[in-house]
Amino acid sequence: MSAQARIILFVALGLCLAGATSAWAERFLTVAEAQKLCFPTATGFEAHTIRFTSEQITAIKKQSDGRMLNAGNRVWLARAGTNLLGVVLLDYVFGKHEVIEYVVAVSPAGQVQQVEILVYRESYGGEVRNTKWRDQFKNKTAAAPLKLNEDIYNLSGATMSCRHVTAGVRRLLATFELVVRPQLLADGLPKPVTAGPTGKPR
Amino acid sequence: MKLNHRLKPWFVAAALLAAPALLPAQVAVDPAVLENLQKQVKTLNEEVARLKEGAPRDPAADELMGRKFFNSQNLRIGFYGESKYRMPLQGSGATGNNRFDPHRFVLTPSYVIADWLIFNSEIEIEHGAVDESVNSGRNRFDGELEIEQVYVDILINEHFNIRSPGLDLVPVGRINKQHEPTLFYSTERPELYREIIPSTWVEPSLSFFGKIVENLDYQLMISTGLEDAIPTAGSAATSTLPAGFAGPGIDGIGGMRNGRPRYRAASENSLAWSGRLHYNGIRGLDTSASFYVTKAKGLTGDSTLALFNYEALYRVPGTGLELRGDVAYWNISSPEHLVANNNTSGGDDLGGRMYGWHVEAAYHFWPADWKTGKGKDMDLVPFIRYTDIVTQSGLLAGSAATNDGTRNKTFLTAGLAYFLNANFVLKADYRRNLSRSAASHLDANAQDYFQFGAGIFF
Repeated sequence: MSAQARIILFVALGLCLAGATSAWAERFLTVAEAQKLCFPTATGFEAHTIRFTSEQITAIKKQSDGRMLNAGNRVWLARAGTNLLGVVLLDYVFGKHEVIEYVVAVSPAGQVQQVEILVYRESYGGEVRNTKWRDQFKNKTAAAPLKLNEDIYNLSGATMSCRHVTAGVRRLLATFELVVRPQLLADGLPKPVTAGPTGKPR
Repeated sequence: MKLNHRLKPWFVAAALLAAPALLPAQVAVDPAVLENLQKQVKTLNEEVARLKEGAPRDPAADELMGRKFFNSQNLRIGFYGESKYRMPLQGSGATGNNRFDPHRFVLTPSYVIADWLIFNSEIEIEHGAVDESVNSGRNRFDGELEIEQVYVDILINEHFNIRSPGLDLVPVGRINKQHEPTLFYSTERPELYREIIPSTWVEPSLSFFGKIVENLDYQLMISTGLEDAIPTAGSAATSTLPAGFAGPGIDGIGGMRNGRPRYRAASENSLAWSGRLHYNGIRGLDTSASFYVTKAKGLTGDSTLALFNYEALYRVPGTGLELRGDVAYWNISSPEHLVANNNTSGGDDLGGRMYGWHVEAAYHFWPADWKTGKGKDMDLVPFIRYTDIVTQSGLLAGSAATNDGTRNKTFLTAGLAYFLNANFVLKADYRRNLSRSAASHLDANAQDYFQFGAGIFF
């Protein structure tokens, strides 16, 4: 073995050991951290667990035009005092093979405020954490198409993760309109934002 | 003494807990101080628990998803594969016959060993099956069985991660990195990825990768380098084979393709260094620049081989138009040392450079009105690609290029990819060698053809 190869081997071994002792799991945020990030002025987050009826599942699947693997969602109402700032929904989708954990913050009017990736577990496709890509969802409502390569651009090399997160957001917005709004939000809240012909809010 | 960050909270907590016991009995402890210490211990304990458990998921949310959902964190097996039916437009014999090719069937097992240790692999069967028996020239199978990738990603932080020693793709070119058949539109991989970038280009290697800044990431690889001269005891000289050596690894016919080194027997003293910068910060644009450098052992001396590649894919926002471009350039420092220039065959000579490029336009045609029922995830993508491949350039004095469309060649490829779903595509294309000759008709890698195919990736 040449001196060059020996040096490389030792450096690599050292880096592996350094990595093993200071390893950092691919959890980027906890739920609590994501809540604060989505609604920094909130003074409290009121936790709810919603469980879907079979009618609700049918309605959500129909509206979001996708599969549903969850029997409900964990939801937090973000408040500043008594003022409702919005809702944080926790959800899971598959990336290519593994589960992506993420939250979507929705305003009382039903517009996406933020999408935050909490955990990403695969070697490929982690680009869905890209801020610019996630920012595309801002202000989208349940009336938007939310389709990859239509109103949401794709990231080459992360196509499956992009597709699945996009479908997840579409499902959560349908969940918000069909279940969260009627069940958890009080009367007198702003009416849902209606969509123009392109799916963008009027 | 500098403590590991995982041990530090334990050490501090133990010190805080032990502190009151070490105090003389008569020393009164201020209740406020004690309360403050207790709070700190509680905080530290919580932090330790968080570090140990990696911040567990919300149990209520887990229950809503069901146990089965999260079991996906164990072994997963993906797949990609492609099959083709080729109808050559000229030629005779085996290369001129219409033929079916179950080209690639690849299993991709992956396993999350821990949140920060991700195992990935690819097991590939090419051309249907392997038959190692000798059967009077009528062997049913002539394929290959390969481990194409195997490594563990050690995730340290988003800027620096290690891809463990194993087998991995050389990080050069889009199609070498992303070669699954639903990610390009022609039935064959683009022609540039044969002689110039020898895809699938996999090497025993070690890599480092991560994000530099938002939208810009890197990969650096140390791998086994390309091979040219391989001492072969007792071999007699032929027109392409010098006595005592195997035939050329790098030459003007196959380009770099036959220079891909032997997995286990290649000289470890000829390591290769490669790297890739990848940028996707502009909406619709995905682009990368990469390099590869090694020193190949030739028959009479070493030759440095240096490759530069730049490629881009741009999906014009709000339209179905997609544009791709790719250019790759090899500099060969001392071609006079390589086997191809030291045998008696002139047809395989090579010079100081090899290069190739292509441009491609594709259009995603499937209208929104058709996206209902079975058509909801369909796409119809006509494409056209122009490719230039040059394997004989800057030849040495006394060498002459073979201008028959089998070495230097230009292709026009056009066709249609019909995605029944994002994971399954039917393809048809026509390829014309614009430099064709009677010789190129007999070369499967240079002939004109009409070809059907199917591709799967999940």
